[in-house]
Amino acid sequence: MAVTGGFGLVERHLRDKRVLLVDDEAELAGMVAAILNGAGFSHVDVAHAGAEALAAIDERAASSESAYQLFVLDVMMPGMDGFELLARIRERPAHASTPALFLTAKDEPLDRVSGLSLGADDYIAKPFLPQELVLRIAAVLRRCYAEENPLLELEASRVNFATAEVERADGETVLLTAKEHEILSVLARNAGRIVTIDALCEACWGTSFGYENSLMAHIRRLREKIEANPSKPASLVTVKGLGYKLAKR
Amino acid sequence: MSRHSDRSNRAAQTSFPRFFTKQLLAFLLLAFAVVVVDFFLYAAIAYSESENNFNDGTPIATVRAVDAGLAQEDGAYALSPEAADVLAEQEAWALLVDGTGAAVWEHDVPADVPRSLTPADAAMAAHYGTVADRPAFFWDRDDGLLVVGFPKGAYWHMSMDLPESTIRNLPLYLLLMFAVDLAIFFVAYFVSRRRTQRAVAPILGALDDLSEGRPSTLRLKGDLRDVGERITEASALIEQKDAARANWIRGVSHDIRTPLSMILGYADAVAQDGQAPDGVRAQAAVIRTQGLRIADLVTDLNTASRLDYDMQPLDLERIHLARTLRSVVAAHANDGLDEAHPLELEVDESAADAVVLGDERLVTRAVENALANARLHNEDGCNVVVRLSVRQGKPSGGGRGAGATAGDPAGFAVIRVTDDGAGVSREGLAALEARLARSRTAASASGCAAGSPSSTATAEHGLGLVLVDRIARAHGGCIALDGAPGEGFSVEVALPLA
Repeated sequence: MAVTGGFGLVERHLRDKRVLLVDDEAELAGMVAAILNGAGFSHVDVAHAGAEALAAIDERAASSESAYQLFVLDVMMPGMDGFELLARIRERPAHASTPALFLTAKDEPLDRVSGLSLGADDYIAKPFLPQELVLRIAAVLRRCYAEENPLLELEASRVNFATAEVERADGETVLLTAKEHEILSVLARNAGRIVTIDALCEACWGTSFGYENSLMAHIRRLREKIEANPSKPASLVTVKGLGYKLAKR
Repeated sequence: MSRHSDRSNRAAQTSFPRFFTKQLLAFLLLAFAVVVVDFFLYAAIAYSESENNFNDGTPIATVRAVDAGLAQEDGAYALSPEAADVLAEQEAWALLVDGTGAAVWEHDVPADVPRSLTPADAAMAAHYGTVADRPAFFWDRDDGLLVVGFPKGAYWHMSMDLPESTIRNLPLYLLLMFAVDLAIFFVAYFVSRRRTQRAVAPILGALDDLSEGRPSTLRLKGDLRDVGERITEASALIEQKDAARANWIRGVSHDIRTPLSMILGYADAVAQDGQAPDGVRAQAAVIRTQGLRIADLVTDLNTASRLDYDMQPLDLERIHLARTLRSVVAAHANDGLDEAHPLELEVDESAADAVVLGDERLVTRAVENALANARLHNEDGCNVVVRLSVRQGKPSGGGRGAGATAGDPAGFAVIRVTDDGAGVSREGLAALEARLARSRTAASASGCAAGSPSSTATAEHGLGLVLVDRIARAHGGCIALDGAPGEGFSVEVALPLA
């Protein structure tokens, strides 16, 4: 049976990424592959053991055209577990920074799973709903493979991240400051999703404490640049009590 | 914590005086009895000794025999053969001195014994009861003084001169001795009692630990060593069993996740399959919903088991609650998985920087459980509001938590999860409160989950709110429930501010 329901949430350039799924449970691996296919991912390979996965990786790594671009690894596997497998993958220069996610049964030490020391980008706790899986994978891909096109199309403006220029609908062109650029890129990478004020501060100042007021000031100036009516924002919207959300056109 | 001190207070209040009077009375009686028995024993022994030695037995009998056997015939003294036999038997000798002190008759007198006694000699001899270092006894006869001597060391003589006042005061002295004896006994009793108490106190503490599910190691010296070792053994055994149970729960909850992933995945696929008949899709949606419930239950069970058995379940850190709640609520909103239950966060201005000392994973779990509770009871959808505020002093409801007794002056951070859904009946609320109260007295939350399958009203609530309560109390806080039919339901978690 095919797992359907494309969710319509994953951008085309992300759906082309080559994914390697490693899980010793053939049925679960098959289901995850079906979910990803259903969501539009066209290159999903499955391996059932660490050694098999490494062999496939090395075979594909010969060319950057065929090398894997995302790994989804089960943690608990006989023989080589997911942690060890990722460590071995990271030893290969071609995959030193290829995004990877863990599928975990949650009773594994979460600090290790979520621990960035291993170089995992996220983890998905079993049991998961297909939609959750796709969203998390898409989020990781979005973070790691920024759109080649540096243009961000908004309701009342177009932002060029390469030049930090904002072309407004009224024909005016204004420049973004470094901090505004930073804030807007974080929001753009998470377009359509709420980014909490804490996460924004963390991303732009390295700490979430004491910068709320600065953040609000920057957001206000950003709106003056990108919105048609800064007091009624259409693109950079406030989510009450939580943070901000960027709506693309 | 509070339970423990209650218990020791109670023990101190009730058993201490009872132990005191009963034991002390018995001890005083015993001491008295010992003194009385001693007195009678002394009297009896003294009487029988003096009877044996000085009335019928030697040496007075010997002296009497000699006195009777010694007769003057024709100016010469002669001893009857019977009396001579008596003397020989005792290896004794006899001497008769006349009024002038000169010996008039002698029998077996050793060579070094003087044959004449001056009045001074006689007085000294009588005073010390010895003649030439030999114990001697004197008998007054018409014709002189009869001296019967015994071998050296056969008798011990004591002469005593006491002022009359001493004799008069003798009863007083005896009484004083008696009193001092009693005092010594009493002190000994007190010291031994204190020792017993000190020895027993750690045992009581260890037993309290055991009954409250904490491990206890008891090392005692002396007689109670065995008791200590047994308790330590028992504790280790219980710990072993607990660990086995915790591991088992962990294992099951781990192993169940993979199959559950598949159930959820395929149920979801069917539920979303446009080509499947509506009835089938609805059924698949039910499977998906129930699968998610199982997933929640498994997580709760595992968390409860960890709270029960881990020695240090809390991974304490400073939690900026507003921040934590923002990420929890934003994650729900971003998932976009549940449009039937829109979620809102309100943070009071005063609570914007509220910080509590706690385990962020558990606090998040508590909030998630409260949210899940709202969703579970309002499947048709409802609005859910999470609100963070700060309250000074004691939390309003359910104030039986440890935090209420700790009297934290800094106040409490209050996380309130309110829905505008179906609410709960008064009976339902009471049953729920009762269930929480039961779980507080039960030693384990995971055990309590399986506790009362009889009441459907409460069984329906699963482990969710029980775990919220447990997490709150583990942080020194408490929870309060509120709700009315048709007016929604609210769960309030109060955590002491750091």
